Amino acid sequence: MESSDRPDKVVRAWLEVRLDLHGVLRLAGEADMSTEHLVRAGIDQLRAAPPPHRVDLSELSFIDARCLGLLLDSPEPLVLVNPRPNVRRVLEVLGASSHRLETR
Amino acid sequence: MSHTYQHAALLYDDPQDFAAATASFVGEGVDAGEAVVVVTSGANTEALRDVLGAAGDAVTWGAAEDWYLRPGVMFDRFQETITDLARTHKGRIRVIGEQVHEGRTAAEVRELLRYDSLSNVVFQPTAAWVLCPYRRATTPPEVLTDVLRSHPFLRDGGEVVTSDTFVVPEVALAHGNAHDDLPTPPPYATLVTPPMRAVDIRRLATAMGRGFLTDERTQDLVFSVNEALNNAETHGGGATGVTLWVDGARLTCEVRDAGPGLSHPFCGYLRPSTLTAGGRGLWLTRQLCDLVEVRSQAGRGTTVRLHVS
Repeated sequence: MESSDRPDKVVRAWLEVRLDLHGVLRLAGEADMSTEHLVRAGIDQLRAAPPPHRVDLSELSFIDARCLGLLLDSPEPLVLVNPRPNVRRVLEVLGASSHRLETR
Repeated sequence: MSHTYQHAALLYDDPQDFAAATASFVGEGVDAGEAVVVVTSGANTEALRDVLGAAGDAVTWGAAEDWYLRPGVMFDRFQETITDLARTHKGRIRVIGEQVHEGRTAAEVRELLRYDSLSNVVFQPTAAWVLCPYRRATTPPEVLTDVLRSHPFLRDGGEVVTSDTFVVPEVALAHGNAHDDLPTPPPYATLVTPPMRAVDIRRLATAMGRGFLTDERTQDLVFSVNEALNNAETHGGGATGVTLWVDGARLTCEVRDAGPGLSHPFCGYLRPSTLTAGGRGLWLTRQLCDLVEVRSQAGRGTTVRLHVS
């Protein structure tokens, strides 16, 4: 799948979005306004595959409110796996129900 | 008036005076089987419990220092508590909520009073009776003026009188936004001007927080400044400047734009009803920062100042 160019080249953060062999969507890097389109495309691809729909956040170091919205507002719930403390904190403030979070 | 929302300010001198002035408000509620919530200082709680005796056991007590830790978190907690009670409880809800102003900056007090103003709109449908005590000694004249602007009623002795200077919340908040009263940043502040990238501002804020803020608080500020930049980009034609500085134990970050100004004075004050609703970023920011100051005027841009310690 696509990833944005390194930030030293363009006005973008770095984000890698990849659907792995187990059908888990992996986000690595920073999800912000400059990489939002990659998150959106990844979620579309994930939804095209059969459930369960899981998104691994263990390599995601930053997420903004809009990208969080993409993860939380999807019509059928996505399971969010291993968010880092800063991401988990914002999820909790938003009241994202804990059954959506999975820690392994 | 019995089934309408009532929001009154109460001035008192000391804990004994507080207890005498609030005992009947609380006692009548308990006797009638109503839900009663009291959030105040430890000394006031003790004095009021002494007067109430066994009736005090039916009251939900809260410590002001927990509830009023951050203005945004405070309001969300009251909103959740009152709307939950309104749903589950048949009778009236009585609330005493005291913002303890001791040890707070003038900017924090101003922000707390904005929420007081906002509560008139938010709690209107719950038909709750809300009483906000203010200790006379820690309520200087300029604060008292704002108290009377944000409370439609004033409880004086047993009487409830109308506040002649009450201002409707939309006007009160818009007036506050238009006030150009933010202190000038210190001369050593770091100023960033365009072209700038959100990712670099995040790095800069992270570096400035390192060593004196916890990782969690640094991340809270990084998230918040990024939201302010997103808003400036989406609604304000892009940020025209970002200023960051450290003052004692506090890291402050200001984002400015020259856009059309906020679309509504309540922007970012109310919990978004759905996660996709606009204003979610600014609302989250108010939950995460110690204090968020917004100044905005139609056609004259928006300034968002974020404080974290």
